[in-house]
Amino acid sequence: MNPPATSSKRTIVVLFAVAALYSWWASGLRSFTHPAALAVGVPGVVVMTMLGWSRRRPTVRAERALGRAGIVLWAAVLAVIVGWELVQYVSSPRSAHPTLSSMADRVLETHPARAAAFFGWLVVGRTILR
Amino acid sequence: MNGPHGAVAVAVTGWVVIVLALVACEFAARRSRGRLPGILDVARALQQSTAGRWLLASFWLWAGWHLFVRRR
Repeated sequence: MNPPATSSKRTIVVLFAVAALYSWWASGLRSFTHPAALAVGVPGVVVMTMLGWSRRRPTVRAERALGRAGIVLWAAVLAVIVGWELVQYVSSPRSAHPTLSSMADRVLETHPARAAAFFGWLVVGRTILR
Repeated sequence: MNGPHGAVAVAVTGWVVIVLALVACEFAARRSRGRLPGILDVARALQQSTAGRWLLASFWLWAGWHLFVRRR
């Protein structure tokens, strides 16, 4: 029988490969179609369900963990990003007023780029559950 | 600045300034020896509360939908 560490490593490699293949397949689907919705919806439902089942309790309050200065700093950064995004969003034409979405569309034009982004999205979803 | 080229320049400059501000904030956080949190500290702090985890997961799901289902 294999030692647990080897078995655990093998599981990680298999999960990694499955996620990579899934990302390649899902990122090749046409937008605005049911298969594309399912490809995103299935991991979404899995993460949300596992989050709902999670028994994890809060450990430290965010205010104590970040400090007031930290909260103010990052809230200000977020406000600037949202504000600039809104200014661009309500302006036209889009080609002259790029939003985060329109810039992402250009970056994600190729299948490999979309697959890499989808894989990253899956990894972030897994990280949220930790 | 007038015309579409001027508007593009303003928009792109705005995004570049925002990215530089993000990098500067992260750099300041790393140099502050724990007095200021970095962006990963913010994510970790959010993960420590139930509401924060739901907020992160909702944003994550929205981002996936927006980028991979509803993209042009």
